[in-house]
Amino acid sequence: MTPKATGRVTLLLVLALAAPLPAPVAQETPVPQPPVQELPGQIPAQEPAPQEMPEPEPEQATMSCGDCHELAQTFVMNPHARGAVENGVVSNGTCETCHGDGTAHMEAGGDPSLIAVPRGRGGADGICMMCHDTATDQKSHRASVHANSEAVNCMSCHSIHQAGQRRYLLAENDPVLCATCHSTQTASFRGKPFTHRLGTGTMGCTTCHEPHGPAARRSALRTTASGEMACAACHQEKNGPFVFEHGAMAAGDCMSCHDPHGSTNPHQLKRATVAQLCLECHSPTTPSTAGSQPPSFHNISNARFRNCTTCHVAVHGSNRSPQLLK
Amino acid sequence: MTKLRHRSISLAFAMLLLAGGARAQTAEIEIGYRWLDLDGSEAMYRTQINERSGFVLRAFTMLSSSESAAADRFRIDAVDLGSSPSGALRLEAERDGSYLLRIGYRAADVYSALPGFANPLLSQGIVPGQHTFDRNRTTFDADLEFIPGRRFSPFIGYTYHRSEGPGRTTYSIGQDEFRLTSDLDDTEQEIRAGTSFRFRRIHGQITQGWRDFNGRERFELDAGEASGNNTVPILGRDITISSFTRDSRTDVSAPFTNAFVIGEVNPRLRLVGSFVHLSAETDGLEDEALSGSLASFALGRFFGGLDESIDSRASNTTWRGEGRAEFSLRDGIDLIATYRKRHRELDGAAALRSLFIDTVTFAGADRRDLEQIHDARNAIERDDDILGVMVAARALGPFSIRAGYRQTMEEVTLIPDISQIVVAGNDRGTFERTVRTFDTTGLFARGGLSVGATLQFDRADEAIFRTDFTDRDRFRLRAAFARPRFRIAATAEQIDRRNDIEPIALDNQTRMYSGDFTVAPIAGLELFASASRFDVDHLFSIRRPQTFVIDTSIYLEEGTAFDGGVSFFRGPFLVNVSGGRFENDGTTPFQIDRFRARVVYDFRPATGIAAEWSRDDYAEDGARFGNFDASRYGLFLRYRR
Repeated sequence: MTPKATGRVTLLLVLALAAPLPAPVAQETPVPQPPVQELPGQIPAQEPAPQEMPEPEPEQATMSCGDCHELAQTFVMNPHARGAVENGVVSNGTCETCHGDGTAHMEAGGDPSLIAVPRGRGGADGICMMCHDTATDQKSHRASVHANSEAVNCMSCHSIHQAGQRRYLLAENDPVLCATCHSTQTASFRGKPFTHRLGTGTMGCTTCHEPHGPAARRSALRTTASGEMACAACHQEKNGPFVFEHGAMAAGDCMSCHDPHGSTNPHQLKRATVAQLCLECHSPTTPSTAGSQPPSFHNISNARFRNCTTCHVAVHGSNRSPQLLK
Repeated sequence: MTKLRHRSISLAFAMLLLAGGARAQTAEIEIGYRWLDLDGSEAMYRTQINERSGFVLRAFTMLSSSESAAADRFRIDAVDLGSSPSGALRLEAERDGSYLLRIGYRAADVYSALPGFANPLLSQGIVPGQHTFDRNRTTFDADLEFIPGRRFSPFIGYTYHRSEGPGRTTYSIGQDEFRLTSDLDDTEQEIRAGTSFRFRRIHGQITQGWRDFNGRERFELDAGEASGNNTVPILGRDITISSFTRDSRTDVSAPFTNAFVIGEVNPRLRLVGSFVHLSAETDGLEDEALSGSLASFALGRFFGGLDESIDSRASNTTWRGEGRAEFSLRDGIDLIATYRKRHRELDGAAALRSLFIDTVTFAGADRRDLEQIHDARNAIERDDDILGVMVAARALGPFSIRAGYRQTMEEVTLIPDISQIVVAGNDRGTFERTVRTFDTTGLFARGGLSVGATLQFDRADEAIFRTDFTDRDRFRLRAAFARPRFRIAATAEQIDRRNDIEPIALDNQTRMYSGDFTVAPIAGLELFASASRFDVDHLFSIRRPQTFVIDTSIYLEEGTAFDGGVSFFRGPFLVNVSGGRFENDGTTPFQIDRFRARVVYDFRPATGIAAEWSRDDYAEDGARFGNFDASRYGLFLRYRR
């Protein structure tokens, strides 16, 4: 495909998007909004107060939450409204699942004190956990490092009322959301030159970490379906099994040598030079530790031998060479 | 534009057509063209950033509901497809109570050509180093769950992963190192099937999967590399290679079983059990043929060629079982007990047949071919037993606290091949270690102020490998204060790792600090600033291989980062401008300045344009082989509804 042809395809793509979207517009999205950050511990932004309660007309038997709250209209695309939309409108019962019976609130002209607004740990445990207190082998809302508290709870990360633009109703996309609290890790990703490409759609914090993971599991790391470390999901060729496995893999894991949160060193290594990284293990100094085979008396003051991986290219393991030479 | 980008655009287009029949209720697209203006090292720029000129589908999201029988909910998300270094596309379709389909596609350019890293020729000004690659990684995932939410919900899944492309590597033979070209084509496929189940108080899932990895790689001598790195003659003879080919094949078959079950004994007690079993087998075949003028001190001969074939087999059995009890003592107070056992064993065997052709003694006599046969064997076994208990009190008014204790018992047994042993010693046998971990986290939140502190202490009785710590302390403190119009936060983290066993003398301290401030003085205007600091002080004893003298390995990082920016929004205009600097004064000093500017103008309520400028200026102290200054300019068309 030539660049010209690619351009045509792209133009078609734009036209195709524009054409088949006739559509019942629930609410026209006006102009772009700067990203809103919801912060842990902060009370979730309240919906705009009702302007003025229309006088109930005699023939109007029931009122709808959407009569006053525009959010009820955009809520039709919210996963919580699934199966509860009639004629493009969310039923009152949907709102009342979390906010309780709204009759008194409506009859009092929208008195905010007469409607429940789930907040903090109590709201998250009492309302969200009614349905979401589920567990798997990899996550648990009770045992999680992010288990509901006043400081960190469901509403710290999830913005419940949105129309579902963000997956899992997240208040911000990963990794911006995670950066709210884990700022040193984010600064490392943002500033250091050798990092995983976070935030490009292929990777986010949750690619490797399960935010609802049990606190007892190291860094709440995810495992693959086959029970292996998250690294193996993309770097399977480094995973073996190899006939001659590198001790760093056998005894530890990828983080023995690499820093997945970004590094000032190439290949996200923990040391600036290959020889330094290798010699820290391959230095027999004490009989009480395992292995630690020395590098064959090479003279590492010579550049030719200082770059261990020039010869030992198969540092992740080899099926051919006991010395990992190929 | 590579095939990968063609596929990305085409896939996005196909998805769009597929979605065409649905009634979109929320849609967003941003598509345009980006230009790259690069000064300096293209190799380093591509290794770090790799955004190139070309079309980019920056973002695409569509949520729709449909009245068709096929799906009542449909969602597509695409990010950075086209000339970006990595991009993704996801599709979800669901019919309530009938099925849930998730399809994902990810593509990444994997590039590395580092001027100074592991480059023995750097002092001669030869860059980049001898190890480079320019590969594409693509992953396709599909998962389909039937009748979700029912008593039994079967599911199937498929993953296809491919990594392919050229590279350069080196080969050490005959007293020299030679640069080779590599052509890699690795594919991996995984099929999964299983079912979720839900009974009254018990639910869980069982998955049976099969993973197959097929790796193919061909190596040839790189053009102009016949003389290798070593220009010094060996015993008066120049070491050269005139021809080289190596074909390598690796096949891995890995069936696995993954199951978990959760029992709600009563509203206060939940029991979780899980088990994963993986049995992987590798079959490897390699053929290598070369000719030239080479020397071997092991043989005590010169030789004129090598014909080598290797047949290898490795098997790895890994399983992990875990039991967890979650007991709610009262509202907001939970007791969690965990026991986990991991086992891993590896057995490897390789038959290496090497035919050295035309060998001649160093004295020049006795011309003959020599065959070497090596039957190599290697075995590793590892067991971990982890026992943990934790109390979480989450309902102490504005406070919450979590405290836990874990004990990890590690046992490693090593049986290396005799050829792996350089100096006989503690290279084989069984090694044991117990690590005791105390972990506590306290949180406080009231009136916009939140404070969190974490302390973790690990104490080990032994070190199995010399890099293992015997003491590790972790501290984390975070405080934030937020009001509707501003927020200020600060974080400090410190990790100390020590091993006082003489003469290992490991002493590593890592400190990270960050502070950020955001203020929105008027509606539509937001300013932010942040500063971060990374310090690593690392001292560790090593043995110099050329003298066997014990020396100290020192590694330092002194990184400082500053970022700031402004976001302004009024009417149809949105402006985001930010800049930052990262400066490292440690072992490898360098500086990066980053600048981003983006202006959006919506000329219609749903339609607009966006212009972008990104600049990254990377400057190393010293050799400066990797310095670059890269600006990217982009113009995008936006549509939102």
